Amino acid sequence: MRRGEAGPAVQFALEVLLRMAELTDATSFVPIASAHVDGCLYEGDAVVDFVDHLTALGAKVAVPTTLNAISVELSQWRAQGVPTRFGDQAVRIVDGYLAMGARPSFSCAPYAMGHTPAFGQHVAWGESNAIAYANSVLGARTDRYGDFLDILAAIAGRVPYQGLHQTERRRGELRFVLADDVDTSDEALYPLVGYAIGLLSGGRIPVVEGLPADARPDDLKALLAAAASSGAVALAHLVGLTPEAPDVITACQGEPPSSVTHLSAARLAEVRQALSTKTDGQVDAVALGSPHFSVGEFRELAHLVRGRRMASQVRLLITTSQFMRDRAQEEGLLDPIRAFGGEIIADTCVLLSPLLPQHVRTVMTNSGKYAHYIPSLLQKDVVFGSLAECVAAAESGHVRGGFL
Amino acid sequence: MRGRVAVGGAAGPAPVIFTTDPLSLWGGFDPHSGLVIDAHHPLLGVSLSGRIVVMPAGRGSSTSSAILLESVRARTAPAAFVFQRIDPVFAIGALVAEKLYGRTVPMVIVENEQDFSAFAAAAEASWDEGGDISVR
Repeated sequence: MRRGEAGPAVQFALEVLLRMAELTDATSFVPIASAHVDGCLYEGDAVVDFVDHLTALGAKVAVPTTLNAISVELSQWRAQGVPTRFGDQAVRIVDGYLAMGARPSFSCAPYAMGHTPAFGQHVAWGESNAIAYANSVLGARTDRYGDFLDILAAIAGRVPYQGLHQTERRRGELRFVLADDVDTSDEALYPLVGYAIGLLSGGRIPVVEGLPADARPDDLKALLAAAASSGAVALAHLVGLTPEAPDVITACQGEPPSSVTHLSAARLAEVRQALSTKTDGQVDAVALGSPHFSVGEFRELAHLVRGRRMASQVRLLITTSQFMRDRAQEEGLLDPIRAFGGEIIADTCVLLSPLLPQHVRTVMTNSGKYAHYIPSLLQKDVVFGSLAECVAAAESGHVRGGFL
Repeated sequence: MRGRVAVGGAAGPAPVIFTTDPLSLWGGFDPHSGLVIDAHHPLLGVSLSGRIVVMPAGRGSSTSSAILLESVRARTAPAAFVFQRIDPVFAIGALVAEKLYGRTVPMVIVENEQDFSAFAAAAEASWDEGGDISVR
């Protein structure tokens, strides 16, 4: 097969996959059930070169393949003031992947749209939050695939059998215990715990005890996205909540964890502070939806904003998938949010697309991932807070250090 | 000192930048300026172009591979990386660069803690195709 009988694109993919197998000491390949491609972002012309190269080779995906959030909202980018060359290059990448047979899912939360591999199934997923969710919550098996390897795996239909594909490599190594003094009713608990374990895990697999038994999928999504931003967390065992962690011993595969860390209220307060670059003053924008907002989150937001009106100088951007925006629309959740002043953006997010104008200096968010990346990628100040605090800031146009 | 050459061949001699804090290239490194942009990272504002970047592992975003490829295209890439553990996200960026542009960012693995720590005080490093490393 390597000699090219399957076509030049498969040959190209296999050559790279074989190099990755060598690097990771894998001795065999394993077939995959699906792929989620993160390499569809316009991060520069090198990505366009890569997609053009695959297109010229006649590449086609061999397994069901979803596409991550992309760099523009396809139907709206010109109206949103996205520069023409940026938009054109972003669309060219997307068209290339669609021509290879990928699905137009355009979301970093494919797992919320019914693209859910079964427990134990091998997949090749890219995008750090999607990887962590697939491994941790679904119990599917994917390694931390970087952009390019995701689509190459989709073309080849297989990956080197190594890393998190192997049972023994999924063993919990670091034990974290939520201390008694932590307020578990605080909805910001999940991104804060996630961010804390990401900082302390250094690429090893965390096991977290003490999270509320009624944590919702959206809570786990927030926790894992934050952990995959502050660290290289691709799998976290959440005791009593995720399928490979009915208890600590099972999550650690019978071996003792190499360390135990207590997450106290004081430590989480430190993390909360570290996630904000300022705590007082004017807020120019509120960004929600990293990972992409779910119907459950739209419900919560619609409930919070009903009958209220945000300050006219503030922008409220909620990023989601077309799929989820349609579901929210059917449920009548978007009207109250729009009446409040919110704008719903599909396909992309504020980190990928130039949606926030220059004059926006301070952005508030309830997402640990947005809070982590906004200062670096957008050179703006960020204030982290709960969803209710974000709504209050949108309404008043400012935050006070008091609630942080 | 010996290391395992993971990607590319010989590297350096080039100036060493050592950090114990793993860096995500996406959101951490600007492939057009060559500077570290991660507001949370101690190397914020430091240029990595042409330097041998020594850190225990990668971190964060799986788009780091695309940023590495972009920096190879823009000729702002680090001269090489030294890791304690191979980061597959960085590695794929370097492998694709080799295929697309015929040049790459060599990566060598130095697992041994004591050897790895020796880079902290190094001004310059280089290695040959067999992974024989010298630090000065």
